[in-house]
Amino acid sequence: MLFHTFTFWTFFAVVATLYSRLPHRGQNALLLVAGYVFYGWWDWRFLLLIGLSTVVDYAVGARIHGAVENTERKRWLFVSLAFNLTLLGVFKYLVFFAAQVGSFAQLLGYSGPWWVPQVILPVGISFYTFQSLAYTIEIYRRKIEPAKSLFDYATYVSFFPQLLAGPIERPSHLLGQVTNPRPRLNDQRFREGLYYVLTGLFRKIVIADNLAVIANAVFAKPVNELTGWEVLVGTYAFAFQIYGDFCGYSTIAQGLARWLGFELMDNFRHPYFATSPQDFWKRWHISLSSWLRDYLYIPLGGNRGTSWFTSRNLMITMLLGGLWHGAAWTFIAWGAVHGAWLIAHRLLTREEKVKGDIHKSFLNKPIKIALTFHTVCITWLLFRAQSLEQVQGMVARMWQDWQWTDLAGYSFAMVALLAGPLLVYEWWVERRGNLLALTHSHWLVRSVVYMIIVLCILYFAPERPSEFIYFQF
Amino acid sequence: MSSSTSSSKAIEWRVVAVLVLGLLVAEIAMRVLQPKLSRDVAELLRMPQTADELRAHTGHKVLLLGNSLTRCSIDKELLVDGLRAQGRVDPKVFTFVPDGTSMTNWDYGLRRYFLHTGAVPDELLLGIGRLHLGDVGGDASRLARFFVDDKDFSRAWREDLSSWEEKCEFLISRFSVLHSSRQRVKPHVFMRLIPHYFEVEQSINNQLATAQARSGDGVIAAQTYRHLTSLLDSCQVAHLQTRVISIPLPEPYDVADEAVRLIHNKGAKWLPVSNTPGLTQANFPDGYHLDPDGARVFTLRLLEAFAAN
Repeated sequence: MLFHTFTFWTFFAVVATLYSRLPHRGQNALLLVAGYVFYGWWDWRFLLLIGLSTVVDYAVGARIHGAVENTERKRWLFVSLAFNLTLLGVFKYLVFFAAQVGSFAQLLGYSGPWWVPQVILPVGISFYTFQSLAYTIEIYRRKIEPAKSLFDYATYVSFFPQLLAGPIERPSHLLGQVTNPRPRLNDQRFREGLYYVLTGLFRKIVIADNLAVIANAVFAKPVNELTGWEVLVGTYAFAFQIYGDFCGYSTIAQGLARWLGFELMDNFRHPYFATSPQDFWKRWHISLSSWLRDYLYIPLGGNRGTSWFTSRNLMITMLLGGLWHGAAWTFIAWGAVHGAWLIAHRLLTREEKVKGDIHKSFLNKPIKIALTFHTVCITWLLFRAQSLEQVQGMVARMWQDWQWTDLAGYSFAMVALLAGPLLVYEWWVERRGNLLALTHSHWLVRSVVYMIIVLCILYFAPERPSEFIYFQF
Repeated sequence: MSSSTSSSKAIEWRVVAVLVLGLLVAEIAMRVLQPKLSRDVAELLRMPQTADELRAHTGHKVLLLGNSLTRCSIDKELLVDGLRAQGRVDPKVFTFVPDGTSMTNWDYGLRRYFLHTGAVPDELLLGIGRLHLGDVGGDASRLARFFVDDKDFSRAWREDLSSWEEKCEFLISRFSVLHSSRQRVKPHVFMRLIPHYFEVEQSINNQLATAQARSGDGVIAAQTYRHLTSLLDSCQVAHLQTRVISIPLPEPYDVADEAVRLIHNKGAKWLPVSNTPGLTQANFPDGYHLDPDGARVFTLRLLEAFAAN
């Protein structure tokens, strides 16, 4: 049930209508049922998985809270970590690691049969597992009280707008909104919800799905048939595809939640206007980067030690961040490149920071934005490629053949036509310093913008709706 | 989503009202512009008029049913002359050959424009290619707008729309030209803004189709002939002499025995003339459709087959 299908909007219309007529507890019951129907729509067998994860983390949360001794608290936290990471390990990484061990065994001379399990990846598992983990960790850190009932906790885990692809909410932010009565829909909430939903659908349907055609064509073409321009433009097409796709999903989720009386965190803040890798990760998939910061980077020691120690922590965090996206060497390499870039940037700008001269850098802001943007775009090559061999081949094409082809011209024009206006609009919002700037404009301005958006969604949609990229993570 | 009596409530509803109003204006504009969207749409919109002309014709009425393959492969004038020479009195050929259609569209279209309106021809020539006899999932928007009429609505809803997505698409397209035309606007816009739009789109589609075939995603499910059966039944009920003709393609092809048996069993004639001597690859300049010279060769072959059957 994709957000940009009639099936979903029929489902949402039914849920929202019933929701508006129920008291708080009834609304929560409805959300729980809706969340399970929504999740079961993909594959009902995985309902057991999300149910099990919910029950275990709820029970462990209560145990951590109830434990007096620190060692007991730690033991229960370990149970939660082990359980959730095992779930992820089995359903997401087992196939990959079994295949790697098999390849390694072959290298050592083993020539017999090798068992690689067939496991279907449950949609959204990385998202709800991390959301569940945040719950037990926060209880362990005594930052939150455990949920008062399993029912509330299950509603928090299965909240359908953000269940499959985030934002990965923190219990301190979302759980309270589940347990307490929510504000009723008023003009402001309706306005913000409408803004989020329409702009999210635009990002997904108009930007992402049209650029997906180019990215898919370039990355499906045999490497030796590609030219350097095709690789370059295909990679930029993917950069805007993944942004439109993922930011689109998060934005629609925010809009739906807003209409239901919830507030979800911002997951993107114009990442392609970042001035450095650090800044990029404060703007891209914020819910994951802040999760990794709070529950991995800081516990590892963060930047509290020597430069080498900080670099090590950064690299571990980014490698695991890469691996979170998928079980493939390309994701690990993508994480490693971002880790190395963060470390290099940190070392290069250390002196400026010490002198307090960071703003007087020899690079001014537009140059920094351009450098960061292009570097990020090039790293997407690793993320999108099917294998490291493909990456190697595509990079090689960029050194060998700069022929301008029909495909390159077509792709360049498509990227410029679709992403150009988006960047101009985002720059306008960026300058205002408020992601909801458009909702503060005159209602007639909004009407005209929304009309353009709706017509673009209607007329520039691909023939068939495609899945969101991040569902596979 | 309960309401609030906030004084500013009306503001955002104004935005929604403007949106609805804008969509209504766009709907009206699209209804006016619709015939200009493509030659195909213009032809489909002319079908009631074609049916009127067919009904009014007093001589021998032949309806040519198919798609662009049939349109390009038959020389109408030559066919009329040939039919006259074979003894048909004042023959006239009417065509219903919209682009990209197949059996599902032909079954519903024949009923909607001709059989249900009493415009029954004397003879039906149904031109088919390799994959046109079987049932294929049609474009729900196009089916709703141009092929299924009110009498067949429930049948299409029940039998041809398998998912809720398709049902919604069908329902909205039935009432909204703005919605049903949505796949036709994008090429018009992009063709003007994107260099080599058609060529690259075509090559990307071919590339993806090849990749799909390689990966096994494009596996064709077991073939069914529900709409061929229905079309032949309708023709039998209307006492309509029906000939099913295999149209030449660059590569020779066979039609499933099951389909051929069905054609015979339903009283229609099967004319497997796709393998016409004298046609070469040069007669298929775009790799799919016959050129006018090829059409003349094929029409003569077809007339020979008529004489023999």
